[in-house]
Amino acid sequence: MLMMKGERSTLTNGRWSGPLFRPLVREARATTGHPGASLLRLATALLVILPWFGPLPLSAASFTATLDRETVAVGESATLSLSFEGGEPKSIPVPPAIPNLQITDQGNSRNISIVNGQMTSSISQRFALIPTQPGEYTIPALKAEVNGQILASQPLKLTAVKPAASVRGNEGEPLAFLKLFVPKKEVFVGEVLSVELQVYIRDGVANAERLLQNLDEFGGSPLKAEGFSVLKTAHAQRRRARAGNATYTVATLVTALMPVKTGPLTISSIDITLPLQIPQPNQRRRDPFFDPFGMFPQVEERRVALAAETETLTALALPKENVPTNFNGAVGNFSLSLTAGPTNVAMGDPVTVRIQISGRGALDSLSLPEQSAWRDFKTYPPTAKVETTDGLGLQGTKTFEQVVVPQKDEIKALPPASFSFFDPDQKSYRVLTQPSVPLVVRPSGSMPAPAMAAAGRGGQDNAPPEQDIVDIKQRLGTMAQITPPLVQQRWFLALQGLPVLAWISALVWRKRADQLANNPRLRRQRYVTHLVHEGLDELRRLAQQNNSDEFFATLFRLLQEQLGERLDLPASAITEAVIEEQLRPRAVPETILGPLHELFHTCNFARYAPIRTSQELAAVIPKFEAVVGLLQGLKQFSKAEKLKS
Amino acid sequence: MLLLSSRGAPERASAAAAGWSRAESPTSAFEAANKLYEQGKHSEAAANYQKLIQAGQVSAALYFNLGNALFKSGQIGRAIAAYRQAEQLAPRDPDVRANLQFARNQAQGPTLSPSRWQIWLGRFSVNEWTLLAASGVWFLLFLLAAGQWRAALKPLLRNYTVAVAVTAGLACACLGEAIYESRFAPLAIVIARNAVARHGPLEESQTAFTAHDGGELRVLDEKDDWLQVTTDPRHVGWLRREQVILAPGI
Repeated sequence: MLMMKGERSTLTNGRWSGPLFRPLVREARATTGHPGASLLRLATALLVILPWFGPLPLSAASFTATLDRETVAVGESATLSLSFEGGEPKSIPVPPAIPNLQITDQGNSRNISIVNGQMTSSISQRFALIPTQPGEYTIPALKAEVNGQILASQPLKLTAVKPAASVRGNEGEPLAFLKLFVPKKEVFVGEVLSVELQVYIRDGVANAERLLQNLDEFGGSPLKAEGFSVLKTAHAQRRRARAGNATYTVATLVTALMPVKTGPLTISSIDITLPLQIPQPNQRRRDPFFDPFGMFPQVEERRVALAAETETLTALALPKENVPTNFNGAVGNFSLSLTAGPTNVAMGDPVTVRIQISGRGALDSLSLPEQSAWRDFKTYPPTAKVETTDGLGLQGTKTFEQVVVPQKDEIKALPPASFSFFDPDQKSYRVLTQPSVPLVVRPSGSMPAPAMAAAGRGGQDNAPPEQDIVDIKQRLGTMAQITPPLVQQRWFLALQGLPVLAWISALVWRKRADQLANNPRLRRQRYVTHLVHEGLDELRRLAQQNNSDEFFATLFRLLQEQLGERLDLPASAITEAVIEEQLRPRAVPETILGPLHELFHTCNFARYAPIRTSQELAAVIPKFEAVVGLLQGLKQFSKAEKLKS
Repeated sequence: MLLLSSRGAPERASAAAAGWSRAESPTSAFEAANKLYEQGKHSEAAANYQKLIQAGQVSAALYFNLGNALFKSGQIGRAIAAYRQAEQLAPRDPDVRANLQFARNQAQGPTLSPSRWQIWLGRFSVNEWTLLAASGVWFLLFLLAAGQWRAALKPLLRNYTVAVAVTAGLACACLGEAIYESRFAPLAIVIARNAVARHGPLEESQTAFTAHDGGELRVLDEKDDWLQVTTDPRHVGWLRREQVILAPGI
């Protein structure tokens, strides 16, 4: 391959350039020492050789006419460029003479480029247009013969306005000023218009370049436009212009506006303050440290507030007469084209209809009107795509693609489609109609409708979008009071406490159970306490029954259990001897030991001399209770505890 | 299945308890409004549906039919608001969702597109999320209590407990998000034909963008009679309150 994919070589005004030629140029210079002649030989050789490596198709011919500015002040120039691509015109057309508009030929240029093996040639012819009176000038469509074809350009409009006020400097010419160009004084609601704000900065301002760069980076709208919808702002190319005796660099911001209400509307610029640095050539001072040779001139900074004159225009309502039935608010100047395919389908098969609306207007908000003539078709909401050809997005093409499904096999054609808009130039409504498209619809079995994703808005379901809303419901259904949500109702929140309480209770219960399981002495203590409590009831019952034997047997058993629990000994091992052997060495007070001895003696005596009366038996119970209470108040003694001798 | 909604538990109020006479029970008033709709008198039908709503008792079908009547009258924004009310009461009704989507497709200009997450969240009402979350928490606490009560069950229930804990956590998170969307991230539905949003809450402020009937905008802030709204970072502005209807976020 002679070149890498994507590398571009260009021949401009007889000079080749591009990565292809660099190594060859170096070689050429090395061998001949004269790059110019070698280059020409190289170019010629390539033009001979290249076709043998495969055809280099030329792109199709085209002819376009463009203006660098749509609005100028009287006396200023705009540049009309005629571009021919893909072919050389037989003769370059010249714009016809237009009253009050000076047209001057500014020459032409040629350009050939090769990109990815495709060669493109272009010729540009420029004319300077200078209006001498305010008004609107129309450059008609121009025709040229290119490669045997007659090509025509689009007509163009140039608006000339009166110049605006400025801020003056010391030399009498303004240092900087703003100009606001509003192309017309009357607009219709919904009509888009381009408003230009030009910032002029005079040559000689030291920081002009930096200021202009800041303006280039300005991202917002430079206008105050009450009653307008601000669509987009674009930066036009900087240019130089002469005003009075001074030369200026001009930065232009173009804003697309659309009035949204009727009546008088004002447009003005935002307040711009520029810190202009004016060199003071007669005041050079030598700073011995930073400027010992006086190389840098002193500058005076002047903060200049600029504002353009407010322009007033009138927004008119669209006429209410003769409004087309399918008019849906489009304002501008449009053309319509339609294609549909396939044209030979079975009933129920989809046909894709492609409708292109081209022209100038608020393309983003354009929508396709409902085509009432297509009643024998099931239609789905169209998808849309916008391609603009200008920086403001006002000129271009909006393409709608809509799927329609014929519902009858008697259908012979897709009925004509129409689109209505209001033409602000003609001040009238226009209806564009495309002829019907012949179709052949065969009878068939039912084919499923195409599943289209919902366009842009969330795509909740994959079911195909409906043509109309679902009809009303016939039954009222379950009625409900309008109440706050559950999370705001106290009873509901209180109810949520129940499972929490249940869980906490279970948790606490589990903790206690685990505590008990891990502490046998505590378990025994609780058991014995429970035993003693029940034993006391038993004693009272036995006392009432005057059952002395059982009474003292129970009493003795309870004493054993209680003492065994306190001393960590088996209950069966407890006798009266433990009082002296276990309790006294542990410094248990006499107030406990004495009554214990007494109880044991009483139990022993009862074997031999049973107490006969209930009162006597009952009298023992309080003593037992008191002793047990004192014993339960003692700390638990462990077996390992060393006894005091 | 009885669906509970953010509007509270439905109560089968008898006509007598609600104070309706036999001649003007909600059902007969509803049917009368339906008749007006079928006759093509959509505005009158909408007014009748509104009267029923103002009486204090509502249903998904009532809001749905109101939405239809408003849509047919060309009031897309109000229709969307009515459909959203119906969606609150019956989030999974396919008719409500279909008509809401259809109405949204008619809205022009900048409008908020719900994210997939918001659409999924909106499949249940706030009350339904509340019940789901509460059920999950109840079940989780029940399992925990059972594990405490019977220690032997604890290892057997461990996996279930973890699964239920995760599910309950997710349900609670969804509930939190649903409450946030519903109460703290309301939507403003444009009901004016062309609502001009400005850079500041003043009539003199510059125009930021224009919203149209049916546009749905997120409310960021409010001041006096103005609401700060947005659809995306490129479109932020202040609208007059009377140009919109406020609706829950989901």
